[in-house]
Amino acid sequence: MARGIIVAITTPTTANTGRLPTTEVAWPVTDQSFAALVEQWRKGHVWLSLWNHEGRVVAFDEDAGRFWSSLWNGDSRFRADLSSLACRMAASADNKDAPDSNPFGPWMPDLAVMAAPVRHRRRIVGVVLGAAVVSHSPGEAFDRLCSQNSLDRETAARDAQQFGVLEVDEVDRTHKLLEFTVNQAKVHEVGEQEIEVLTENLESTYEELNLIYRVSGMMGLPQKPIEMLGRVVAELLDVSRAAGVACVLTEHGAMNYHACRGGVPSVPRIEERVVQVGAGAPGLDQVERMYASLSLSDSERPAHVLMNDASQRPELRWSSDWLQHLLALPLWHEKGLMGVLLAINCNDVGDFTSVDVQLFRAVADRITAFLENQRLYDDLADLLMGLLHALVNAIDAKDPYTCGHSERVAFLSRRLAQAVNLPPPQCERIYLAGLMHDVGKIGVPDAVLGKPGKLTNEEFDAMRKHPEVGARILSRVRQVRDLIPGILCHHERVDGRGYPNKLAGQDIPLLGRLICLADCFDAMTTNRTYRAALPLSAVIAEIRRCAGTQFDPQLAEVFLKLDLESLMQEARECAGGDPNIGYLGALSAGITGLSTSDDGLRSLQAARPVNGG
Amino acid sequence: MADRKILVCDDEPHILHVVSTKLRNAGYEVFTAADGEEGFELAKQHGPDLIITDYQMPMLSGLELCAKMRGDAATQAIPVIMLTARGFSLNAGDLSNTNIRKVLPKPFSPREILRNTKELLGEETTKVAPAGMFEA
Repeated sequence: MARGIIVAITTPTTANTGRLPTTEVAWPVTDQSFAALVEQWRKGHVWLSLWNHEGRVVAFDEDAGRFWSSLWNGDSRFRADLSSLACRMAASADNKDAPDSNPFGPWMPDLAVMAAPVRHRRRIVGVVLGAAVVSHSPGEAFDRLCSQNSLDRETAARDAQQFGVLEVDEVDRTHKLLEFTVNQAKVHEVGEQEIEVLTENLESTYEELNLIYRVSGMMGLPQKPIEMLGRVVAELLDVSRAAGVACVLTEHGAMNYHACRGGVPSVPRIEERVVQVGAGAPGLDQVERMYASLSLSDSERPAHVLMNDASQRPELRWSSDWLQHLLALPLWHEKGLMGVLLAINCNDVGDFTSVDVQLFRAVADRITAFLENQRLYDDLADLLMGLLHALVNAIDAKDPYTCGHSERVAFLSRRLAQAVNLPPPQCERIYLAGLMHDVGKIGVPDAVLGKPGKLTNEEFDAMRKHPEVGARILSRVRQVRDLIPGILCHHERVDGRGYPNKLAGQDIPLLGRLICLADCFDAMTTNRTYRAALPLSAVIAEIRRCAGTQFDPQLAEVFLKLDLESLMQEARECAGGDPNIGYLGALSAGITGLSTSDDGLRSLQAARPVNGG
Repeated sequence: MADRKILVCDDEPHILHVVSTKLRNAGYEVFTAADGEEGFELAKQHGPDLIITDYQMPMLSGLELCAKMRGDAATQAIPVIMLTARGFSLNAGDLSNTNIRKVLPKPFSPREILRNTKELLGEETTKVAPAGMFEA
């Protein structure tokens, strides 16, 4: 701050947006701008002081030399007179009935005092007084001034000359100039303040805009809603004024993800229903209790609930120790409530406002849209998988001995794919391929499928057509076209003696080699029309024996390292319906398709089998 | 942190205000320039620890500014964060010929700028994204 100015002005802090200046100060002329004014006007032989509207001095030119400082520090008659001038000036609500003459002062014509009001919002918030000695040869008025303030007249006159004297004919013009510059200073200050406020608003707008962008980017399907919500609440905590952010999914909202095909949906655990972040987050149970306390009414469907006096609310009395502000955004969906987004306690001084509501509203709307899309997606996935299972079960049912075979092969194929470290989405696609591998059997006569004895050549030919029939059936379905190599080639052998195309070695798509192994394993470990199930030891010996002729030797090696006993058990259990199947992964992988080349197996040697569990 | 100097270059005054206010509030000394030419002069004059510059500017673009700084002993080591309009991308050559460490698309998050600033000035324990992870 500039030397020589008493600072009694506090400028509003940046955090203080749109708040009126206190009546104590002569804002909007700040100490810096007043200091600049003082410097300039001293050169023009005018001594400045700044007063508030109550006639209290806020700042003055302390560096103006002996004349003004002895006047100011004398018996203070001078100071009292200036104060009353400032008061009168400020009291005249507008300048029309400005006191006395203009310029005015009790010491005219030897000493002139010029007043320039500081206006803000149509009110006078302060007065700048400019005082100047006007006469080169001071007369009676100057004598009176000196005696009133106990100054030695001669010394005072000399000091006054030294500071500088204003010419009489300059007084009017100088006064107008003073009013103009004070006004300019004020306009400048206000402009600066406004820019500061705008900058602050712009900054938070940028943050919010980026939040919306980021949140939108997080809403890709498919994913578990609770995981997405975890990321969203973290972003909100970062950008908003909330000390804690949480989201609760209703059972309806959380259930969406829960595969409930053919069964009773299970109630999701609390970790799958509730997320919370921030120092102000009270814990999952408390969050859920808060949500329950709100008792959001389906008939009223409030868009939001804003409680800045949460501790006073009877329904939230249990949380009054720590809960002050609560903003709740229900996630309404046409069929009911899917969840609620919660902002818990405001970080800043003050309460949650419509600005906070708007930000949370925007994010809540995105979440609602996501949950709704997720629900539709899950419905479709559920429908598709339901139909697929129904289809393959119908085919398996043609032969009572192959009941559940397709589902077991699907399960085993996926396990094998996981064991050779294929990426998870591919493993899910392989599950689908396994599920449909025998779809072509729909074209094989029941008499052939169920024949207990040895097949004739014709019957065998009919049987051997099923891979091609299956491939043909599925070729019409764009979304599963990448699975066809698995269906077509699951009876090829690496020694080239398989069917339908007698492919050999690596010419057989990986998918075919995988399903072949899973298929044979299941066939050997279950009863068939033509023989009873083999003991596991015999099956292992058979796979080992046929590695390199019927089976891909590398795959066989990995397969045999799995815990086949428990694998067999698991396969049997899942055949009734696999509750853990990753529908979402299986379907979305269709976007990129399944690589049918050997890329995934290049490093098979190095690939460690994953334990069967 | 108080002695850390940052130069912000942008021809759009509102960006200058937002960025410099954020950095000043965090305790940095901030200089501002309204175009690349002024930016270069200030960079030579003050030797800032970091430059945050817009890409598109009159007189001297952000990229030209960075290339020019690279060619001047006084400024060649100063790290740069570049702000670009969405969709504007820099190629690998642009990056390897300059000291651009980070590219942030507009509209940016001021917090993100502060976060990146702290990272580049080594004031956070979090690691600076290695070159090549640019998100232009």
